[in-house]
Amino acid sequence: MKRVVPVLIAVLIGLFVLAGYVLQSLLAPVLIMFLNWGVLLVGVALLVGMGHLLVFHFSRLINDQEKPFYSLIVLSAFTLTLVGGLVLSLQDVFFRNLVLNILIPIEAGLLAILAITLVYMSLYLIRTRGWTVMSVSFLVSAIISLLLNLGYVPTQPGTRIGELVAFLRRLPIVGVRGILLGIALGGLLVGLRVILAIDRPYGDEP
Amino acid sequence: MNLSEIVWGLIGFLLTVMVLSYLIGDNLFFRLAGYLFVGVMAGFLSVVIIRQILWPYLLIPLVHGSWLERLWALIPLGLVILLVLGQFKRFTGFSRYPLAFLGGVAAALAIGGAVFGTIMPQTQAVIEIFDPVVWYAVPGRTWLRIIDAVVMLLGTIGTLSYFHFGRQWRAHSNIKAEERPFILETLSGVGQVFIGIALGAVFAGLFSSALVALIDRILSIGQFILLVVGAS
Repeated sequence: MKRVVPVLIAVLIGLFVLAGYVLQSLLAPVLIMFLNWGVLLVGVALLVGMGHLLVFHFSRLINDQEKPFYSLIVLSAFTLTLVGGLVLSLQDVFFRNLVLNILIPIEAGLLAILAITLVYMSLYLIRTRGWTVMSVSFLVSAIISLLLNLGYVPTQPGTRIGELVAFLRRLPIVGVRGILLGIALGGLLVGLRVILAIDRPYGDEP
Repeated sequence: MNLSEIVWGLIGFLLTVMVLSYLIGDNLFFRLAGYLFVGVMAGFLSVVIIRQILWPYLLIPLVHGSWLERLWALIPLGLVILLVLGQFKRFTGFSRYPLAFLGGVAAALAIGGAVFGTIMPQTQAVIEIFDPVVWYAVPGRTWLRIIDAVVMLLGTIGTLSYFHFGRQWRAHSNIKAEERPFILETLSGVGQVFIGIALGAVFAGLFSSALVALIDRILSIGQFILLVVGAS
């Protein structure tokens, strides 16, 4: 019974939501309710994840394990932001300043570091993998895309250069389309396996 | 420039310098900024989840809803309680039920999204470029549009073939296990070129964004120094 109930829940809910794609007008109210419950559960799962993070840092602080100072920073930053966000509102000027003036400089700084890391890694890729078909096409495409992004190449439609530039801009879409189709086929297969109870990501292997 | 602007500017300046200090190697300041980021981000996400999800979807129907709404809200409340209880060793099995619910919803959404959101529109886009009406819509250079369509089709099939790792099973075959059929091997070679081109374009976009962020950070540091020097 313990094993059958979760399978039944997953299969029935999955089939119901799938049926909602076809019978939208008929099932809409219940479907929206199920989706809201799903969003709620994802939110709570994220909170549970935060809880695990806090427990980890708290135990590191209490047990005086390696570098407890960093854990103290995580815990105090978390507490300050949580209390600030609950006491004030999300739109409050002070709270927005507190969050944005910490998050945005760090995020933008990390992105800035990425620029240098990307250049290094692209050269590293050629050094380790050598000149293969993929590495050459990758490098040529990256250089051409960067040149086109500069905006100095004339792209008037109707001219030969304009058509060539349009063609070069369309080329990456082909690969992306193939990759997207591959991901979608993979997602479709995984979804079907869960609904048919072949895979049970919620526990209990069949 | 008021005091608040100076304080927030100083915080932004210090944090930027701390993060960029990673360029000279992993150090204490970079780690400090990293841990601060984790703490603030976790706190901010928790606030958003509590205020935008828990409050409207669970607490408002339970506290302010009609009797019927309260009755319906008991189901997600039960699922939430089971999910939380499942985190304790003694009640690990309890989280199966909310996770099964989530698994069912996610699987159905994945199937719907894949079929209606990607497979159908992308296949349609590949088919549409073979429409003769499109070929002859603008006079002249029709052959160029035909070649363009063929390249698009070959590229898409080639990319898909590159990710094909299946083998035909033959009990008494001399074909080595690692060999793929010739046609698949050829198409996957074509696919490699297109995957390289796609990843190169993605790399260029990402690099441009990262470069803009680097310039923005350097500018913000310069602006802050200029403001402080100007104010004094």
